[in-house]
Amino acid sequence: MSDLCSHVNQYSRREFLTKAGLGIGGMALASLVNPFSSQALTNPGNGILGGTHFPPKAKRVIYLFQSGGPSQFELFDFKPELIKRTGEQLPDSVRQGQRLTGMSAGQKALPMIGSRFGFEKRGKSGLYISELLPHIASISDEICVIKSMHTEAINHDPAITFFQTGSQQAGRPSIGSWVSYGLGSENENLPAFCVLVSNGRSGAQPVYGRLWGNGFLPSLHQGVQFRSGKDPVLYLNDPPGIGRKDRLAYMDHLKALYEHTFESNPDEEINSKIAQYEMAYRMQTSVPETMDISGEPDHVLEMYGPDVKIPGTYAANCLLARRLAEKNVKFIQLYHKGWDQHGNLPNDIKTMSQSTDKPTAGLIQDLKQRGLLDDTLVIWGGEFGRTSYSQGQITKTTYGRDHHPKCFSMWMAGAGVKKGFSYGQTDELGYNIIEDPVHVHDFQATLLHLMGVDHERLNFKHQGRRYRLTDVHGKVVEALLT
Amino acid sequence: MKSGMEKIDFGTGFLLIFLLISLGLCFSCGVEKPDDILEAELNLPEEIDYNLHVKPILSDRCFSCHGPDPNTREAGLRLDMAEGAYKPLAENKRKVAVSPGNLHRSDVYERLVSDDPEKKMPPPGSNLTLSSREKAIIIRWIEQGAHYKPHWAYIKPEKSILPQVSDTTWANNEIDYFVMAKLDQTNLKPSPPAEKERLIRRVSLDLTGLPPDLDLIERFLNDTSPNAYEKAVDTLLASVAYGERMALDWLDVARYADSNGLHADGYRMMWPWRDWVIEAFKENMPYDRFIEWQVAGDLMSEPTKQQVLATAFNRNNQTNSEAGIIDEEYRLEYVFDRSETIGKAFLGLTLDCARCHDHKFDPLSQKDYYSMAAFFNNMDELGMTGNDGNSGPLMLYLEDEEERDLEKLKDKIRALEDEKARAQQNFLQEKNMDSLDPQWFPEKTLQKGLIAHFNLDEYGEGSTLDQSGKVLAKVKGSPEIISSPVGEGMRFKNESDVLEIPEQGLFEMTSAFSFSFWAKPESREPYRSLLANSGNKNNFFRGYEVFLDSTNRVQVRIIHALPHNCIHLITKDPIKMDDWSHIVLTYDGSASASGTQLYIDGKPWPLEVLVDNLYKSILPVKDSSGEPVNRPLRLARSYRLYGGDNGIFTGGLDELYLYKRVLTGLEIEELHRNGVSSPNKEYEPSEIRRHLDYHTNVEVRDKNESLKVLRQEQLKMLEDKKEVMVMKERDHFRKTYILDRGEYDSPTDEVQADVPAVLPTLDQQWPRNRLGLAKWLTHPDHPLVSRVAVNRYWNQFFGRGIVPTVGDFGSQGELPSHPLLLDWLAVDFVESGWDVKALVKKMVTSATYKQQSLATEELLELDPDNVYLARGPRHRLLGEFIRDSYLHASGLLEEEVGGPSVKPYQPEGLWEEKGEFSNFLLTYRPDEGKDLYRRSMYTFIRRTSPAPAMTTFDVPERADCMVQRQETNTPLQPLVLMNDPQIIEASRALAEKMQKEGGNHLEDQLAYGFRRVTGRRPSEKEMNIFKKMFSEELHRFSQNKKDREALLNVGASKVDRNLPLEKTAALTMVANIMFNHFDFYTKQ
Repeated sequence: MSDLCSHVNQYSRREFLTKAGLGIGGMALASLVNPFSSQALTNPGNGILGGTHFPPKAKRVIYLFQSGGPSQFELFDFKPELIKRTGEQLPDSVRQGQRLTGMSAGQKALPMIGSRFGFEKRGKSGLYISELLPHIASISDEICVIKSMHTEAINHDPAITFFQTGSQQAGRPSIGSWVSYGLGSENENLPAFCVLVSNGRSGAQPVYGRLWGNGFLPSLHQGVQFRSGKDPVLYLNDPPGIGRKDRLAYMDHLKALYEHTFESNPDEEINSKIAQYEMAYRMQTSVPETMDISGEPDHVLEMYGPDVKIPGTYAANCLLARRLAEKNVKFIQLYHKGWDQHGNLPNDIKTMSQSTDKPTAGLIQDLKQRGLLDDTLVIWGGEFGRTSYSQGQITKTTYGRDHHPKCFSMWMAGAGVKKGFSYGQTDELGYNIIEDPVHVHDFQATLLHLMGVDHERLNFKHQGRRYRLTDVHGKVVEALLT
Repeated sequence: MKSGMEKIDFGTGFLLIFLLISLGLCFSCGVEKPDDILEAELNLPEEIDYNLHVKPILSDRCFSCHGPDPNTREAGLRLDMAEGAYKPLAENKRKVAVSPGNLHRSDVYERLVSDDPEKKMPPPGSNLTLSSREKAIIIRWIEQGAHYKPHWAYIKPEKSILPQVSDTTWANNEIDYFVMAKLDQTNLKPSPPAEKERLIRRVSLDLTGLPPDLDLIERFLNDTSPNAYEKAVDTLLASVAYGERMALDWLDVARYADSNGLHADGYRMMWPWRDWVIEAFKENMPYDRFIEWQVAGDLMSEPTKQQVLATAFNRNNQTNSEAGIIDEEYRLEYVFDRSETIGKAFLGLTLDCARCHDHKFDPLSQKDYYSMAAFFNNMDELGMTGNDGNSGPLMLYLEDEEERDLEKLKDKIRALEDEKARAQQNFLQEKNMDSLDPQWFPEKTLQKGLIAHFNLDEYGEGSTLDQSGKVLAKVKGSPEIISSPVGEGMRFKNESDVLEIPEQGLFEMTSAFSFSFWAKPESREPYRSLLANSGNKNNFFRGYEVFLDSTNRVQVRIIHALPHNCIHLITKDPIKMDDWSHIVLTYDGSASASGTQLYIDGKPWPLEVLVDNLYKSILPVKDSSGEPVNRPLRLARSYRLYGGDNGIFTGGLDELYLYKRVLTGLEIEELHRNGVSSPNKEYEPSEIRRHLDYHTNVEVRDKNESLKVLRQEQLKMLEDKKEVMVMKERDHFRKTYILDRGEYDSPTDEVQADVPAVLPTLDQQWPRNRLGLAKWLTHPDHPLVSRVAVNRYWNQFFGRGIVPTVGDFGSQGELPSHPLLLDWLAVDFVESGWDVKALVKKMVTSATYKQQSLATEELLELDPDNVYLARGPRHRLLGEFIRDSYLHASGLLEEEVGGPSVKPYQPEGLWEEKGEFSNFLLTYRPDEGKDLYRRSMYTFIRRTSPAPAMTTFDVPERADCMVQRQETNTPLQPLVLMNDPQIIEASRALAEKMQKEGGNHLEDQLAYGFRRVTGRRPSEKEMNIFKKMFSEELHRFSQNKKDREALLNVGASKVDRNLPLEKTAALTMVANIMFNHFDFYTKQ
């Protein structure tokens, strides 16, 4: 058993703390990173990796998740042939027995439907972007559109879980957790992984806490949700009748108590605990500061559109995302719900496009004017695409689209990705990919790569197996990178 | 096994035994080792053991390419067994990978020491490396003969004799001998016993999850008898709280929750099972029986209610209600979840790895995986469940009294049915009536009980009227008018052609009804709905339906909830394709298959009964809320919508009759005859009698009326009775296949239910079902089950398993620190009759457990993780126990046991922001009164939005089986302990308690409060801090009434306004700081 013991010795947390000689209150950062992953302690202030594998392009990520599956046809993937052949049956040769969801599997007819919204070439790059997204169109020279995304899941729960954790089955760590685990935090006062869930529309597909869960990673790495309203982080506010001054006095008493406890009961854990109290105390100041947008000038607010002043909206959250990015939060995850347009697509997608268009473009411009876009990666996209045929009948006013996993569009902007660039091609009917497919695992590998992490080398041993975000798959899509 | 284990133990000395290098050199003649290896060899144990030293390295770094899985095996080389390693290499027959005792001939050696990236192993691309020490271990193992041994955990444990120890006075029981022997080997000394005050708190928290009452502390401190501690332990073991505490651990294993988990994550009710678990631990049910009931209680002979309830264990898996998912895909997910849970919970095996390919580290094949799954594959269940509600099979969970009442009523019904049958019999035998009076001609009697008759000859403006002109049907789409045997009919072409009859056909299961129509099917989809008002997944398809399957057989379902609470019949023969058939369904309101009949072309058709278990309402409802809805009766398309089987019928339908009664054979013949226009009407005498019996036998009619009343009474009695999800075998055996890459639609070879080949086989005499599996699991010789259980309990009390990877006893799991102890305990556990309480008592009364928990500097240096147990356990309390403890200290805790889960305070809006697909769980509404203060294990668990204050303290979301919780330390934890309204309320309650019960002096009050919080008296320094803080706070709250009121008003419990409020407020803050004391939330 000497082996086991010396192994433990080598990585002992307590031993490290003893050797590092950190006294009371000096270890907030070390503990924040990963107090229970022993290896992490060789690199206090950083994650398990003790630095990136190679120089990162992106120091942080803002991931604007468009939940529900936005239709590529009405937004980014211009398909004139499909428009021309609207109403015709989808040829079997194209579908190739592809599995349909239970919702349109019973449909006898699969009439194709082209976008009813116009497309134009935009900017210097000449990317086609729909009239539904005029503001995003105006920054088209900043973005890198991938038209050849594909996934394995065809229903929301498994698909969004797959995108965010690398597995369709619930229980694996989310991307943000992996990043927090691997790279740690660069902010002493805020968590490395922050989450903003925008107010949903009625009927929107749900999002789940496990999408920002830590899975089997230490729970320190779970996303911390920042909420609108008076308690932006749960239990952040002091109780009624207790002011900041009172809390400070309380902390002094608490510290005295812990110091005294340590004297009679010299357990290093006591120091580690008080460090967390100090961090909690600092968060009580730093979080409300971050959430308080009263100091933002009008011309900045204007960039995000009128909803920015309504807490909890996507626009307001885009602004908060920028504020968190400014504070060097590593992974900022937003959710914008409501893109599940099985029926009534034309009206519905118009509403959704309006809600995403200006705030998203505003965020990009705002980051850019602050010089943050150079080292911030922004991602916009949903969990799958939509079918080129109509779900339900096509009428003069309406049509719908079912889920489609075989191709869809998403885009990135900022750190390390090509600007005004389009990647991948779908066939003329928008059903299959004909050029440069990008799998969800490839996307995840690329994201980690941009953060300076080799996705094959960031893993965690659990239940006897080394797990990683990309399972045993994933290739970095070099063509997207600058 | 015994000798193997002793050998392992032999080589485990903590002090390293240095070896003469020459010994190594002699073995490796002619091989020159690199310097780093030579250096590493200096620190190797004398004897290298395969299980202890070599296998952990090979498994972790080599097996994924050279292990049990043939699909990923490189170069045909297998290193997990001797025959693979010793045989000639595929690429070079003159060489072998491992040549026992001969490094020169061992290719492995060359590859270990090589720097050549082409040769080097593990290859650079794998991102895996071996340290010099690890290389040296493998090298020495080869030199010493490269002996393989079977994996320790798969061999039956045996009790060894107690080892010799340096100090026999220390030991309290057998555990201590093993622990001390190990301490002796490592030159460590046990710590002194913990102070009594600490010890009673420790054991109380461990056994009940609650701190000791002050009087228990007093009693224990004042009891100087030698068995004082044992008495205290017995008191704790006898408490209900012990049952609750032990149950909590099992709820993690069993992934128990109050919601469905996936997508809508709606409501489910499984708490009666949770209460059964508490009871089982409280009553100290033997662990083998505990397993048996949960795995196969339903299959035991004449199972009791409790035995069936226990099987809910296997229904606690998450389920999905998302529209559009493939039913079979998810049904299989649930099957797999069950067998994987069994693997982890009882066997310590990670079966899940073998779902897509043979296991890479353990000798578990894909075939093993699916053979295990086959035990759970023989149940009818939905893959796509409703957004809210339990999905079948369910058991009615009645109180004993209710059960008696129900039986009484059933007896009455049966008696009346017998009377009715006799009356019918008499009528048919005695009366001599072979001819029919014109008034009873079927064409006349067919006017009775008729609700509507649609001839379906034409329609206009999207509707058509029935023959009476009173009932309107909506015609959607554009059905074609075609000719039929009875004139004109309608042809439904696709999903847009539908006929709907509003307000009609809304029958309860106690009412009789009949339908008659003609149908001509044109296509062969698997599910074509002819006539239905059956709903969708969210009401579990409630209603009735007549449909065709892919073979054109007619099926009828009369449904309260699929798949279990319904009548389901299928004709043995199909009807014709592309031709007209006359179909009649009659139902007599008896809620039984025997009262349901199908007639094809005028003749009763032979039927097969698939399910005959209808006992609740069939009236259409909106969703699982049970809100009634007037769902129109629909022709040619179902209401199913979401499952991919919208039930679209293509073909002709004609001449629809709706009756609110059963039709007689003569009447059915008559309806059929209209289509075949046979002029002479010859009636069978027996049919005439039946016809007359139906229409003229007053006695039978009266009995029917009375029967209906009784059945309605029964229906009402059961209407809102609890039902729990349980296991139930289906009658028609379902085959299980290996699935390629684990995909539901890629079956390959069929497998039989079986246990993994590497483990002992199933006894031939046992049934090949879950009952056989249960017998196998609980067999005294099973190598894993008792070890895994004992280890889990050890982990529960010592905070670290003897095998630290509590859920993995396989190759990748860590080795036991005290293998002989583990085996001794495992065997003793079985010998004791799987007596959990005795096992627990042995653990907590050991000298090992009773040691001080503070590590000396030396101990920290030598054994930081307390592997060798030279000190007692010390851990942060579980999330539930932190809250329970402060509620207990404050006097707010409501110690009621069991019942529906409760909803204490939670920040607003957490459920709404997640989604709105669940009607029942749309908004979190906190309870009122005592339910705000129940033990935290009763807090409602919604898996996608678990109670945040709990989650912060590592309480799992119960998505899947968890055998070991994390223990983390984050800044969010202090936020909860300082700011959660519940703890502020508890602080205030404690502040009041201090004043009322703590004596008259401030110091006494503070000491009393602190003692309630930490179980000890404050030190002088602590007292000074509290006093200082109190006086500052008192000053502030005397001046600031607003703040005072704000603070005191937190929480729903009443403020005692007879006490000086500024003092209560000040003490509230002091109490709160006590709750933030290290000694409060740490078990020491």
